[in-house]
Amino acid sequence: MEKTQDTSKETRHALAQHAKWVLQSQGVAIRDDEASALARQLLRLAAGPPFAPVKPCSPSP
Amino acid sequence: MLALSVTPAGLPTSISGLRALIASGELGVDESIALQHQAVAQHDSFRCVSNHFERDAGSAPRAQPLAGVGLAHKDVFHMSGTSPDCGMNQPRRVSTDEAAVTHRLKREGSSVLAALVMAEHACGATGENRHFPLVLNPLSPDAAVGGSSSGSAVAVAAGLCYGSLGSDTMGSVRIPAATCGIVGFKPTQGLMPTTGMASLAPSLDTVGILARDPDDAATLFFHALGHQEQVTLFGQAGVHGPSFKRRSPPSPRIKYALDHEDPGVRLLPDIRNAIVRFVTHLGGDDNPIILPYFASINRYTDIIFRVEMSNIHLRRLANNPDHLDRGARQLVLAGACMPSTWYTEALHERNGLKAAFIQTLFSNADFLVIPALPTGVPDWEDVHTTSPAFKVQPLLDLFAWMRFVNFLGLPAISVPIAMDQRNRPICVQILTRPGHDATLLAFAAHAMKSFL
Repeated sequence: MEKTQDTSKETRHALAQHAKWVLQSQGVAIRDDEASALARQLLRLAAGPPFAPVKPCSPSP
Repeated sequence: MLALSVTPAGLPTSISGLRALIASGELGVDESIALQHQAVAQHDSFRCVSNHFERDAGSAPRAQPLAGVGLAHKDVFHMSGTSPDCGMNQPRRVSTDEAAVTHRLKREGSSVLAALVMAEHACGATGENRHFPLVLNPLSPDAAVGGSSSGSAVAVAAGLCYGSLGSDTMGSVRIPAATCGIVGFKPTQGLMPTTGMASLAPSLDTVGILARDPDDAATLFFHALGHQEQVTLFGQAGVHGPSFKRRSPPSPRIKYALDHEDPGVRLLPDIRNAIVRFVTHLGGDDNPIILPYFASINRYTDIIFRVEMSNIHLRRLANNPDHLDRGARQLVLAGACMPSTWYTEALHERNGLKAAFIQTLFSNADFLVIPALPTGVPDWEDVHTTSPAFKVQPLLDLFAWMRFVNFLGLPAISVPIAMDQRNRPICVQILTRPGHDATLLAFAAHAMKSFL
C-alpha cells in the first residue's frame, strides 16, 4: 500500500513537472501548487471509465 | 416559480398575453417597450443587468409577431451595435456585427433591452463573477443562481424581460433556469446558428432559450429559426400567432432515469419522489432505467470541453495571466496538457455513441425524464468558491446531469415540477430525439399544465 502511494506521488510529481514544461513552452507560467492540481485533474480523467465500445445495449431493468 | 400576476412593467406575464393586448390596440408597441425599459432601469435590485441599451429608434409595426416584446440576452452575443463583454465588465466596444439569432428575433419585431450578467467567458456552473456584484435569486437571496447564463435566468424570473437567449455548453442555460424556477431550453445542436456568439467549446456550444413557460420558449425558438428549420420542425414557416405550435403525442411513451454513474452524485429523496410522481402522472414507465454509456460519455465530454476551451483561451492566458478566474484557468491548462489522443478518441467515438444512445433510448420511447439539479437549489454560501462554507460536491451536482446532453447534441428542456421544503423549485429535464424540438416543447407545456 505504502509503495503504491509512493508510486502515485512520484507519478503525480512527474506529471506536474511535465505539465509545467508543456505550458511554459506555450508561454504560460504556472506555480507549483497549480501544477500539482493539474496533475491530479489529469490523473482523475485518466483513471475514468474505459473508452466506450459502441455496441447494442439494453437499458436495465 | 415566482408567481407574477403582471411584470414589473405592469404588463401581462406571457408573450401571448402581451401580444393580445397589442393586437387589440389597448397597448401601443412604443408604450410597451418604454414601460419595459423603465422597469429594467428601476427594478434591477437583483443585479442581473450588465448593460442597459438605449431604446431603438422607431418602433416595429404592430403586425410583426414579436412587436412590443422586450428581450434581454446573455452578454455573449454581438447585439445592439456592441461586441459581447462575456462577463468581463470592460468598457463597451462598438460592433457592426449582429448575432444571427438576435438578428432574427429583432427582424420579427422584438427589442433588446439589455445585456445580462453571466459567469466569466460562460465558464461556470454558478453566476459567481469577480467583476460583478453577486447576482441575486428572485426566489430567495440565500439561494444560488446557476450559471453561466445567470443574469438571463434572474431577469426572466423577475419579469424584467419576456425571454433571454443564452449559450449552453455544459448546461449553462438549463442550470440557471432550474435554480430560478423557470424554463431552460437547449435545442438540438446545430439548429440555431452560433454566428456572432462568443464560443466556449465549439462542438458543445448551443444557443438556448430561457423563458417563463414552454409556450414562450416555443414562440422565441420558432422565430429564431431559419425558414427551412421552421418548416422542418413546425410544419410551417413565418406564421404569426400561436397556430404554429406542434401538439404533444396523444399517448407519449416516457422513460426515466434516477441513478447517476458517479456515486458521489446522490439524488435527494424529495426530488426522487417528485420525479416518480411526475412520470407516473404522465403515464410513463413503472421502473427507472440506467442510462447507457453514461460514464464514458461524461468522460469524453470533460475531455472535449477542456481541449476546445484551451484552444480558444490558452493564447489569451499567455498574454494576460488574469484573463480567467481560477476555476476556468485550471480547465484551460488541463486541456493544453492532455494527450491529443484523448481528444481524437473522444471525437472519433462521438457519432457512434450518439447513434447507439438514441437507438437504445428512443426506439421505444418518445421522451426521457431525468433530474435537473439532483440536490436541489443550493445556498450561495455552499457553492461560492470564496465562501468559508464552500463545498465542491454541490457545485459538481449542478452540472452532473447536464453535460452529457451537449455531447450527444440532443434537445432538452428543464422545467419546474414542484417546490421543496425550502420553497425552492424541483426541476426535471426532458429529452427527446434530435430534431423533435417542437414536439418536446409541446409535451413540456402539456406536462407542466397537467401536473402542476
